[in-house]
Amino acid sequence: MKRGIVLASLVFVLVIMLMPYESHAVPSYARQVKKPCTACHTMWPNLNQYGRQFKVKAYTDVSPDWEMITKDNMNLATISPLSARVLFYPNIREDNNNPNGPAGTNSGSTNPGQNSTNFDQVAIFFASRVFDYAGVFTSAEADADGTTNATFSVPTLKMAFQYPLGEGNTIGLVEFKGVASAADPFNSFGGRDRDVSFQAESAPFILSSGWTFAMADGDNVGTVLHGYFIGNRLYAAIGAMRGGTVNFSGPGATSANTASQDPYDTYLRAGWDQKLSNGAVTFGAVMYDGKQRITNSPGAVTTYDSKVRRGYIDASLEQNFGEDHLFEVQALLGNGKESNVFGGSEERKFKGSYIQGSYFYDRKYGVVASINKIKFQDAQATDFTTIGGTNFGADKINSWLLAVDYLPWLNTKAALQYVNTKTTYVSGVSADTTDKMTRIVIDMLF
Amino acid sequence: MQKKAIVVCAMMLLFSFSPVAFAYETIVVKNGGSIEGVVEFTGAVVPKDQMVKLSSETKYCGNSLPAEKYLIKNGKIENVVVSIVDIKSGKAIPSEPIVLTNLKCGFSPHVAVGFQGGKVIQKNDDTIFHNIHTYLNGKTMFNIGLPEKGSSVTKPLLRTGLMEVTCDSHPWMHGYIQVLDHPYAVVTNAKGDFAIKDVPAGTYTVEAWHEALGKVKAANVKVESGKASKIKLEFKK
Repeated sequence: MKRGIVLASLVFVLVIMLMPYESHAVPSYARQVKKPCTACHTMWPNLNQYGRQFKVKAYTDVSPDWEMITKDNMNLATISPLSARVLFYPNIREDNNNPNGPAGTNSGSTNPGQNSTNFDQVAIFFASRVFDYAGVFTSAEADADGTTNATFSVPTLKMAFQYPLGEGNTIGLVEFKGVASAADPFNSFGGRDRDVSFQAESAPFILSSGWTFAMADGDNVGTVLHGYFIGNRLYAAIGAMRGGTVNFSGPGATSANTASQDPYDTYLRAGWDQKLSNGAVTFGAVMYDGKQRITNSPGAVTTYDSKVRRGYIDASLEQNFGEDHLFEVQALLGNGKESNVFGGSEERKFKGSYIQGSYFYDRKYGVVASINKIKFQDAQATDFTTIGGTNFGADKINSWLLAVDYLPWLNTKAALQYVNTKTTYVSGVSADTTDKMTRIVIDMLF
Repeated sequence: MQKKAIVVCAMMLLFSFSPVAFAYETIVVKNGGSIEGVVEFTGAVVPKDQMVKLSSETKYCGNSLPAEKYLIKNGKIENVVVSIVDIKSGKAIPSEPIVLTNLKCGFSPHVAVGFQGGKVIQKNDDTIFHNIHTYLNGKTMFNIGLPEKGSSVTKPLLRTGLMEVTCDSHPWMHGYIQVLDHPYAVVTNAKGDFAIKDVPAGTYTVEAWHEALGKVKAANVKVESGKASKIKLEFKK
């Protein structure tokens, strides 16, 4: 109750601070560029072609009337760089039968009819151009953890630089802390953005899973050199990253690996961004290769490096046909391989796919559906790392999501979501489980 | 039963995106007549167009632009849509799309005529970002960014009515497209002149619409084969 009052008060203060003079509310980038949401987004958080270019240009493409306060040798933006988000699940109905998850959480017990009157997430975004060639983006979140506490984190912190190379060509550098795809502009690979919209239930398993490493873990840190070339059509990126840790758990596990000692990994990304009549199509490929430092492992060897590799191909399509019928689809295929997983030359692999489609009419009424699959190979009942969150010992996970959305305004969404997740376990770990969740989502951006 | 339901739903979905059937009938017009004339302002006080001070993008667009709202010169009114009301049959509706260009921080043309079943192409000929927000009969029809010179979007004209075209990035920008279900409509030139051609013989009501002055009508306009009917439409206020 007390936590709810604190969170509600925080939201109220933020709304008052950030309410613009006009009757409609827009986040900080829209204020800086003096353009509506539809300038950069199809349906938030998905980016359209201009929005992808805006991201690669390090959020610097503001209105020509952008002003800075320079008196007394200051360099201060006149427009507040803050935006806020409130996420609220007022009603959740779950039917979980996974006996292996932590007790007291959604996945850890049969919990029919769980309702919540508290805010589930309050986030503040700091997003701004800093000067002509640099911009910054960071988010700070307070998430309810299913008890009376709220966990606070800074999942994303990015400093981006850019330099124009002539018409339709930009080169940039991103320093970040967050998911491995933090610098990536494509919707099909933007795992964090999808999480923000639909939370963990919709994150592609092939991004969130691993034995010693996960692409979608928020503890990745790194540097990405990237750019748009050939008239903003070819996207290429090369990066050096570390972290992306996975907690060891299960029988006998006691600790996680340590990001600060982790060797740097290589990230390569190429994509093509082709404008179509009334939309765009993208396709590309990602390769991640490196080592993960494990310390305090509960196994026979306590400190060692595992070798990790990930490969993905992705594609997306956006089309706005008729008067205002917006259709989008994103697909991601991937595989992963890890060697020396427990310090004894063990090898583990996975492969899987994710596809999400959506249709919105008038940008007010929409339907979203996704299919999320992963198959683990060579997983053993004696493995003591988690795979894909709490699905310890999973052999295969198949999940689908269906949502019906209503947006009275572009920055306010009400949705009814259903998620069905079936997990098949390695022999000896557990019987197959099917988790079903229905929930109402209220999502507001200021 | 389930199969039938799926087929019916699919057909409904398909037809919801197909061009709307409308009442106008295309016939061969032989030796048609024409309605020609001028639109004038005859009121006591002639409204004058002001210069609009620009709130943004002044480096590219300048500090101000003419409003292009009244466009009355020597009593003649430009940019008036003159159309025949409720004509049910006649020549074919033009198939060429209407093109509305974002040019020098305004719309060109400022006023146009479109036809149900046709298309409108909105393009950006400026080197600045424009965000086209189009309303049909007061309700948002679509809202799409045209980020660079050469960007364009093509949309179908499925319904009749008044389309108001604005730019969310530049609030002074306004354009209009009257969408009709027949081809007998034109926009007056700088001298206020108009000519509606290939009209089947008959008696018609002619309407003039102006974005600021409203509407006036001329009833009982008689059109004879091969002849031009001359009329004058007057706005008084």
